[in-house]
Amino acid sequence: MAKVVLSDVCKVCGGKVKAVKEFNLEIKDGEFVVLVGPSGCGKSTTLRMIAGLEEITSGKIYIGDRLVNDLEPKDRNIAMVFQNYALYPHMSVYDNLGYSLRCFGEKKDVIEKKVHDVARMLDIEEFLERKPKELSGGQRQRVALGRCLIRDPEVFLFDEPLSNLDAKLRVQMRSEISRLHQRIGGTFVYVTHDQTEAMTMGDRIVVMKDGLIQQVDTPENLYEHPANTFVATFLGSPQMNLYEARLEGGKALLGGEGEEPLALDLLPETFLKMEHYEEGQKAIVGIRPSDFSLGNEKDRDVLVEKLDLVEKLGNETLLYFQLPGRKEATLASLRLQMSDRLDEHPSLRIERSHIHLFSPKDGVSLSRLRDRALVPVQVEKRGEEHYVGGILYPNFAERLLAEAPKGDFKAALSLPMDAIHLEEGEGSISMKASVEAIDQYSGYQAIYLLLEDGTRITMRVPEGGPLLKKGERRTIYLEPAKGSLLVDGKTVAGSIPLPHPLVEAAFRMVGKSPFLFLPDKELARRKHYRILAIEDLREEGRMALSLEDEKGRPLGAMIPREENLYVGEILFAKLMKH
Amino acid sequence: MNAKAKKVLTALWTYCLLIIVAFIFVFPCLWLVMGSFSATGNLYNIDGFFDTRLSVDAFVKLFTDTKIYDYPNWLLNTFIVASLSCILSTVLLIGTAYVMSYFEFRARKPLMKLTLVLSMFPSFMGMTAVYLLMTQFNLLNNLLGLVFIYSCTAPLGYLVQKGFFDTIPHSIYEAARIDGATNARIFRTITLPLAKPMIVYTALTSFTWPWSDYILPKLLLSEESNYTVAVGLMGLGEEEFSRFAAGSVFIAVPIIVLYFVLAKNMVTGLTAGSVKG
Repeated sequence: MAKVVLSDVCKVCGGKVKAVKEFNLEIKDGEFVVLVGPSGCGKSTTLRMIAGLEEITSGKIYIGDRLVNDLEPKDRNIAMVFQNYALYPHMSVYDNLGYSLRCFGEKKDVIEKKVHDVARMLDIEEFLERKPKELSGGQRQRVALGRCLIRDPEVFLFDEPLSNLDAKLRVQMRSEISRLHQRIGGTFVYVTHDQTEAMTMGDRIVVMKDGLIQQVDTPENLYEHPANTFVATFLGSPQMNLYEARLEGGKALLGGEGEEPLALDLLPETFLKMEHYEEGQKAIVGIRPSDFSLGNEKDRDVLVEKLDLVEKLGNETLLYFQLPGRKEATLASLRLQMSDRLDEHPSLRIERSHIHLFSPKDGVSLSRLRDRALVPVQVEKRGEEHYVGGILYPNFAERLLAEAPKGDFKAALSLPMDAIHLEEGEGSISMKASVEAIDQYSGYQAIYLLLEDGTRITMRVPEGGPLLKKGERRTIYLEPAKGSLLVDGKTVAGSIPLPHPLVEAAFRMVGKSPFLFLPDKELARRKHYRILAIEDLREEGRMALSLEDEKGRPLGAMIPREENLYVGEILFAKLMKH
Repeated sequence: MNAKAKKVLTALWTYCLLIIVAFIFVFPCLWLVMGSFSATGNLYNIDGFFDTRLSVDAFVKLFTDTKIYDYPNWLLNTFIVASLSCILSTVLLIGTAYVMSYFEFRARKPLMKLTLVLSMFPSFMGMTAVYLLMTQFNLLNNLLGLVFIYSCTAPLGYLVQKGFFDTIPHSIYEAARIDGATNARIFRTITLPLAKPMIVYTALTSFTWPWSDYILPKLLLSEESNYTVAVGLMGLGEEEFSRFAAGSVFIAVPIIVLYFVLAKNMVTGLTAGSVKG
């Protein structure tokens, strides 16, 4: 078995449509990863790129330790189950199963033994002489599975394998595939648009939309802590209710303009966990239908004035109604028996600890558990070198993206999560912090910390790491070399060294060709530039490009942020007109 | 008029029309068959077609009286040309169609457009060029010259076969690639068995064209010993009508037999069960 690593993988189809953008993922050895998303989100394309059926435009794919970018599918040691089974119609089940072994020149007796072993395992031994057309859908799918198993590949790929089966068979095959994974312990990559399949089968789920990864995490974490409104509404059935709201006085006020708002008390911790809080700030409040429960007159959050519809599904009852002052329909799912009676105006409680808050601007979760943390630091200049908290900040000159203040200056150090530790490491700076709150995620704990200077940051402690308690004071260690430096919200030094000269440039498509507009005649005279690395300063609306021209001469360029650039892309040079 | 009467009347008209059309098509064949069994064999007399005295003399003469008109030799020549052309044309045509359907390459669409335009020109427009080309290749009055032309022009008509290959789900090829098959192996073990009906159809059409063609052999063959049946029969005298008819009927027999024998192989639906459903 082997791990699969996708690094900065991009796929551009038909000129300029980006099917998959900057896909970064490490699939561990023996892991079951599900790629899920709506149609056209790039999940199947990603799988086909791993299989080698689709060329990648840029980036790298590793299977085990081998770079497989230019390897044929047969040399990647993978097997794939297709959505439509793709069995060879003119061959018997026996020949279908043994085809790949024949291609690899196995001896007849070995093939026969392996075919019978696999057929026995999948319970299709009695159909070995039949042709695919004489099998039912479920049996065909088993043959397709067997065709994968027989080669004993390192990675199993599944492209919506159950979507052609009826509901009952789908449930059965779902558990069979899960059992198969437990039994053979291979690395499984599974593509589906069905959130139930994703939630029930995957060790980890990759949620995709428009070619971009929205969130990668365990099913529990995705459900409990969605990173944005897309993930929140895509996973979970029935889907999460979303409301525009104002946060004021420890409450979320869910009211339309000019309406008497419905006030929901939030837990005090909710505000501690937020990255930024201002009294009266707007937010999107997310409540899952299952977080409603029946209350009573004394203990209730909502009194339903009018029930639009009640659906009794047996194990749960769905209520459709409007919250006071809201026009959109709200859906609540209550654990009631079929025989339970429901009031005409039921009182409902809402589980406070499960209320989700999102930004109204981009739908991103307001939780400060982000991929990066911002820590205020003092930057000292000693000779030509710069030091952060007394520790050398390497390659300062090569990382410069904007003019840095002269001499010593104050800055914010933007660090990725893997640069914050509880143990001291080489080149790390120490800081005192107290634990404000803890969130249990599957696989790790999210620790919300308050630094001595009042800065709030978050770190992740993996399962098995030291157990922290709320209120505890700890020393944490930061690796400045991995971070970038911001002054007044603007990145001065990036996290990767960039070649110099570093010029302000612009990017624009001219017809179907990408052009880089450069301020310097000499630079613009060069034929074209290839993108070697991109530092995306998303929040500042710009990006830094590490480039090299046709003769390998380096150039750094700062350009206004552009979604559609990728590493490896060729940009034609043109002189910028002022 | 009530609905039933209207229905009957419509059916009556339809059948009448169909009978007339069928008669127009069948009559020449019937004429030819009757003519071949006629004892008098006169082209200008109704007796020549619907003779009261039937005989198989014309057929016997075809194979016995070979001094002037060497029908067995013509038949052999036709068989050589048709068989070789059939094999070569089928190989080239199926190969072309497979490449055009399976492989994505830059020149694919321009090539498809070009072949479409080329196939719109009537074949006789290239007669002079074909004649000159064969002269240059020293293949004039040579059966191989005919085989060469039939086989080389066949791939131009690849569109029907490509249409068939397009219906084979691409995922089958992809599954085979993952299973470790090379392109050649995929063609041999997946495409060809699945394309059996199309190969039979292609082989049959590639056989019948040279078998019954008149224009090209007439253009390229001048020596009587090289004649094909079509050219040879056209050289028969007016008084030899029954022999002409017998020769024509006899040459049609293998084609008819081939059609009947191979018809069951031309059924489609081989891909059933490979993919969803």
